[in-house]
Amino acid sequence: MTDHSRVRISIVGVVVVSLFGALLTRLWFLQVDTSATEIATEIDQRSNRTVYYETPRGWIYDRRGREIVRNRVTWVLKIDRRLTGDQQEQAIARLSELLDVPRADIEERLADPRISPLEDAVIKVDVPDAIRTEISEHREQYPYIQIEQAAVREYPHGEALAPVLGYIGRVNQDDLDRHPDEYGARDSIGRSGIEAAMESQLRGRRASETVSINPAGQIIGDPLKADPGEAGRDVYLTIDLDWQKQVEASLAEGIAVARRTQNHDVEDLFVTFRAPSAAAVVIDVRTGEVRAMASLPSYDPEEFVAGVSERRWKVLTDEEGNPLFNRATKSTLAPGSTFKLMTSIAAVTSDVRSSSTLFPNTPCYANVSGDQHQEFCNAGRSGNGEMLDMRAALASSSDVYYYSIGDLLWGHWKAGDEERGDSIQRVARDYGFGEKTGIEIGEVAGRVPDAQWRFDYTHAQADAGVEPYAGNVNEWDDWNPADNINLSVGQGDMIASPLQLANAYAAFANGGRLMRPTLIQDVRDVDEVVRTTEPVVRRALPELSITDEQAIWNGLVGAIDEGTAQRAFAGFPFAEVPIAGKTGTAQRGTDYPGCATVEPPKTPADVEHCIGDTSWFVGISSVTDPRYVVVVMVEEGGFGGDIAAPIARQIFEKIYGLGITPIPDAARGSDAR
Amino acid sequence: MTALAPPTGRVRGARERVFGHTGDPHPLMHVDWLLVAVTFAITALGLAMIYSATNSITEVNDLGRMHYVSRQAMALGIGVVAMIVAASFDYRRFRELWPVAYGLVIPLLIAVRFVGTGQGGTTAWFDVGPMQFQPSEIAKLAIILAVAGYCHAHRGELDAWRLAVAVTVAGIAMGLTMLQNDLGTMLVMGACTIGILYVAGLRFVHLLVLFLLAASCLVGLLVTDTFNAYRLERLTGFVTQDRVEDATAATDTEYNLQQSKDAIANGGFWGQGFGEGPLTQNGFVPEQHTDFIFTAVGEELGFVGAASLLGLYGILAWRIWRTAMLSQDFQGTLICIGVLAVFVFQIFENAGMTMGIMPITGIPLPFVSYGGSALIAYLAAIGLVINVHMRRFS
Repeated sequence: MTDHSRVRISIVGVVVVSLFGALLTRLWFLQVDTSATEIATEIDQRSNRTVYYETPRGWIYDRRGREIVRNRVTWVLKIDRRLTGDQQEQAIARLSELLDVPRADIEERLADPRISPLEDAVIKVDVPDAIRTEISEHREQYPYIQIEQAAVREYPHGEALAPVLGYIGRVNQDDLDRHPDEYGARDSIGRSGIEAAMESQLRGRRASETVSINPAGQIIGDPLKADPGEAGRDVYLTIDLDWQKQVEASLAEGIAVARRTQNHDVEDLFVTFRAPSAAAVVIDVRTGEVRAMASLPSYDPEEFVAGVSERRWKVLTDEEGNPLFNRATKSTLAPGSTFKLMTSIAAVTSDVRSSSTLFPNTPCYANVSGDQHQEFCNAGRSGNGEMLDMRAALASSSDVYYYSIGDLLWGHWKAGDEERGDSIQRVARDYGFGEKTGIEIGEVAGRVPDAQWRFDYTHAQADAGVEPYAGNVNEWDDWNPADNINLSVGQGDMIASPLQLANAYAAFANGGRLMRPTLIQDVRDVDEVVRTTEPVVRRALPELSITDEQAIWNGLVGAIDEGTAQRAFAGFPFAEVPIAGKTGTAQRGTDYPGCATVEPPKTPADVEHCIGDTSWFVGISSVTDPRYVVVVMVEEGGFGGDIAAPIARQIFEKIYGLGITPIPDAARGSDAR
Repeated sequence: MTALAPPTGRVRGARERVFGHTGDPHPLMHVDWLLVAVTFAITALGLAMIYSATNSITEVNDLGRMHYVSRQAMALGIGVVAMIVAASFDYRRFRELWPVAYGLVIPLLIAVRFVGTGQGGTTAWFDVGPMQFQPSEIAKLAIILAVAGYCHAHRGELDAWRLAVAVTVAGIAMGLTMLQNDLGTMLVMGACTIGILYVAGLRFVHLLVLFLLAASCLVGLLVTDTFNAYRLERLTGFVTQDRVEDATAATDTEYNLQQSKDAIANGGFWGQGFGEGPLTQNGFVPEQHTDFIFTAVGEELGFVGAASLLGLYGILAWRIWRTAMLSQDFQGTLICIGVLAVFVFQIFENAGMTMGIMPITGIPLPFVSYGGSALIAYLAAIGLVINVHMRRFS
């Protein structure tokens, strides 16, 4: 080898050394001279993924452990909603043929704007085995179609209790924002009723698995971390399912009767009551436990399992019927004469009239307070001047007797004695009107009107430009005698929910404790009770004198055996089950669109928009040992004694194991106000 | 074993010159065991890293966990035989026989263009049962033997004409390789040809001309359709790498390179531990068990491991370079330089591309990347070096 070659080999060596040097330098800068932890965290996120699974939702039972809502595992067919054009066309056509459903139905579900476009659309729940086999054997013909197992809600008793139970739906962006750590995009959440109120118990804690993934999202190896989560807890309601079903059946029967009963408020024309909806509550006066709560019309919650079509959703929510709306806690209607219990208590506690003071029951009453004098009449201008004490006034539901109390109290208010002048309002608020009862599910507060409310309301309306208030607000913002007089008989601006009414009567019946009503008996983890609802006394009410209390009780008993509910309870075994109660027939506010303009009406269409009276009944059983209050309300059902009272009778008959008496058609000229 | 070397013209090795030769001239007494040890150490590390880097791919494709490792081990077995064969033959026979080796390889290179299979636009190998045979890997050896043989025959008189012959000899094989769309291997062939020619006494002017020739060939390739866009994009990806802010806008190559650099960076100084690198275990680095295996070393064994691997390569290079120096004749020197050039170019290009300092081309990391033909060819190349080393006194 020449020296020249040696030099060149040496140069080669130098080149080799410098190349290795370059590699090492680069390696150093890449691996050691970087913020390695930052990269490591980022890489952790890239290569690990935590997958969440919903755990089975808790079941719902009645107080005796009968299943009301349970879970069922079934096959669900879904379509990828990101499909477009021909692919979508093909998928729809194939599915339509296979499932034998109209294409429009599938298209509507695909186009549903209520769920995220990234989420698969559920086309069918309970996919039959034959179809499942067909699809899995010919996968290539059904691209973008998924069949997977899912746990869905099952309702063995159909419509029973549905508006109270509520329903579940997919979480939306709002839910995710509010509970970022608890819900995933495809999870379910209780949307209303018990399902929503008890969400935290029913839901449990979702399971999770942290897995390694490759860039294609495929799972590599065993999970790094697995959390089995917790199954949802079971909720036991205070509801008695047997009673509940009877209540719903009785309401339905009452509605049917009302719809064939003539509305004599419409003269010279045969028009029946529309009775579009009804509600009832049975409450245990000692604990506030709700034994039954019904709202009609109801709906089949199974509809929500498969997903309600947009069209169906509009029917469920927009129309007057609105079966999703729980009228027992959310409707706000004037309580009518059932409110006279409050006025009676206000009268005796404010000393404007003792329970034994007699007052003439004239057909009409003219107010004595205030500058303007108008007449306020009994329903049907009944009354011939006979002298009534409080007992008789309650039993016969004399409006005049109570008008005068409202009038006198207004006089005191006007004279500056607001304490005394606001007696009705104060008593009503004490008994829970005008505020939420505190029950677990959604409810409304209702309203107890007074001077301040009148002022605020009128000015708010005026500010909003609503006539007639906006024109001359000062003319409308006064608290007038008529306002207090209307309030005295539960009319005018006084509104309440059936539950509030039941709770107020329960407070009277149990000797003056306003309870917080509850639907939840306890919560169980498998069979272990983990949470019990203890009775909550919200307020101890001022005691009544024995005489006054007796007079009121007797008035309520009288209403049933000789008064407004007498016919409805004819033949009822009072000796065994002594009950008390009060009817109510409430006019619906002051808005009678259409009615005032067409007079006299010529055709049923002329009174189509007239709103009939609300039929109320409140019953207490028993007089000797008060246990239950039953409230029945039938919207546009007519007289309380004709419709609501017979429904309540059936409920009492169920509670005490008596034979159920059919609801009779109302007689003409009923005095069952 | 009988040496068939000509009795005269023997050039004394460096050590012999310094210390005087007193030892037994039998070749077996002079095997470079350090070179052998380093070779097998790197190969063993390679098997381990192939195991680690195929965790995801075997699971996803439902292959056995040892699928790739066992195939590589099989190739290792064949390679050891190839190495022994390459060492046994007296390399000096190739002074006359190099055209035979060369003549055997060229038809294979032609055939593979038509009946071969490949990936990423290449048609580089034959399917032989469960294994694949890549003739271009063997062709590297043929080029080394051919160019070294030719240059040895005309040592000291490497004029422009003879240079042209030598370049043509290498160029034919390179051109055929390029027809398989295997740019990386062609570049390796070019590097080793230039290395041999340089040591063989190439004049500076000719070297300059050669570089210009190579550059114009490359530019020519870049502007023709032969060189498809995918290749070009991969080549230039490393230039645009730091401009990629938005991951979704990254091209495949940029993504590939980003994953590659992230994996190496994720190793830090000590590494994530063998079998513990998240990107490696989950298959985030594309082609990780073949071209990008250095990232598995980087992520799991860290700077310590990657630098150690480079250190082992350094020892390997040193031993080959040393053999070139010690060689009994100039042909041996040129063979060793050829082998050295192949290895160093591949190591630098491969490790460099994973770290973003070299363009991405599909060439394996010697002894470590998964690939049977390559491993066999590299072991045979080491065999040649041992051949030269152990015959330095005979």
